[in-house]
Amino acid sequence: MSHHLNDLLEGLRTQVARMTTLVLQAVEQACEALFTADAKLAQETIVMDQRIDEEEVRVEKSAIDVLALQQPAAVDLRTVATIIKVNADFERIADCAVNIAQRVLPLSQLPNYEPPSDLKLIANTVLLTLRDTIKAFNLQDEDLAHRVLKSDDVVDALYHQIVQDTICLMETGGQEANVELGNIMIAKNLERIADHCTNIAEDVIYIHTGRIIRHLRAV
Amino acid sequence: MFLKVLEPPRVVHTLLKVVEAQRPMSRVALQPPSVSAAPRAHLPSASAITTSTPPDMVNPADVLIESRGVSVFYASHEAIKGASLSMPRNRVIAMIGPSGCGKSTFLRSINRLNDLIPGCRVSGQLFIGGQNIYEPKVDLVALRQKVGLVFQKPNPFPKSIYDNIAYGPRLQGVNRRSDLDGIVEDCLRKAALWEEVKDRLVTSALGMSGGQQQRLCIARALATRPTVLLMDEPCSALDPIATTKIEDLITELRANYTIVIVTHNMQQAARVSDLTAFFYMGSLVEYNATSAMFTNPMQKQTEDYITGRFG
Repeated sequence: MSHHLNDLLEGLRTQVARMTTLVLQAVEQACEALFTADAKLAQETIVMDQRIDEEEVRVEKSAIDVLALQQPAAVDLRTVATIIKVNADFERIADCAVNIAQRVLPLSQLPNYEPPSDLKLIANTVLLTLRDTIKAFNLQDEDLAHRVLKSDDVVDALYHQIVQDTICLMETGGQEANVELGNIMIAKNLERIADHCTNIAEDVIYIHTGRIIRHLRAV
Repeated sequence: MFLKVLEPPRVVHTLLKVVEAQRPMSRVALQPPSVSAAPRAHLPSASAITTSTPPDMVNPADVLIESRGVSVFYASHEAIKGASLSMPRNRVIAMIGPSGCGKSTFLRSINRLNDLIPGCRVSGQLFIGGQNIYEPKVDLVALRQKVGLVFQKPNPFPKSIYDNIAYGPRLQGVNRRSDLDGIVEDCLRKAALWEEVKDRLVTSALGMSGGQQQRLCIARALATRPTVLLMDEPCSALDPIATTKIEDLITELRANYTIVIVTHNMQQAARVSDLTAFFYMGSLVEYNATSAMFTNPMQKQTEDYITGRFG
């Protein structure tokens, strides 16, 4: 590989790493805002999204430049193509954090709002999954990527449990409908974050093996 | 920061076990999909490799050129070490590899041009259309009419454009002017040159541009009605516009000819070929569909070469 291409790929990975730091921070802030009923922190998460959007555009432009000017092949090509894909996934994860923060804003104003314990559990699981995903991508750790795929099943199970519990509560007239809806929407966004983590983990495996394993698990 | 206010992470790992235990039917689905990494054995030496014809790319019924253990020696030096590969008809096959790897030697062995080099010896079998071209009874003139060769540097004869094309057919006994006119126009059209030169067919070919001269050489090769066209770095002496024209021409000619092209330009191999063979130090390291070669090569040596890590 030419030193120049090597430097460009290294620069791309650094840009993605910088973006992942912001994305993790956004999700952490959104969750903390939820569990501490902190409207200010939720607002900060929403504002922060613009920086992440700018980073996403920057990464995409750089990756397209590398494709156009360096014509990478084999593992280098897989790396650049994957960076373009995971870049979009990370940006969508940040959008999910914004969605959560927007739900937190009205909920945090309720005097007796207490997030259900399963919501804490799914948030915790998703945060761990996101951290593993970022680590797997930055360190190109294939084993860790496989563990991320596994933890998505836990998140799905938790999400369905939350939905079931909420339906039960609604049927028995437990809380206000907007609170139940808020909880479900927050859980849905957390579940979406785990889905994006799965996509990224599959892409890490693709860089390593050249095999596209997407959809194989369903089969 | 957030995790401190929530349950400790171990809860999650416990939950993972609980979820798996409660869903015995989904155990298989919970396992990470088995990803068998493509073989990436780092090859100790190039001579350890013999062949790697992609099994699903070459249908035996489509094979036009088949090399079985072909070795080429220059005196005692083994320039090609037992190369075996099958080339299907109406496909473009690119040969890549660093200088001295034997790709041009292999190309020239397909029309026995190596026979002209003193001390050169070929062993193994090379079939074209089912016939071993290294059998003693093979008519070399007829072979080279069937297997045309285009060289790196355009080499038109110092004759008119018309006579360059008509040269081969005349040797084959075609002398009627109307027949020759038809062949010249047909070949120049196939070589995408007719519109540019139809009004100056009697002028010297040496007055054409480099790109035009190379297309004239291709047209000249087509005039003897070959089935195979060999091209040895046909664009290396041309500018980008002429290169694009030749590449477009290769793509069009594929419908009627089998084309084997040697190129140092890997992007060119990626653009024009269906199959790519990578040679290194006289050995065929990998032969596979071009898309597979350039996205996910099977051999580490191939990967190192096409990503520029050596060579």
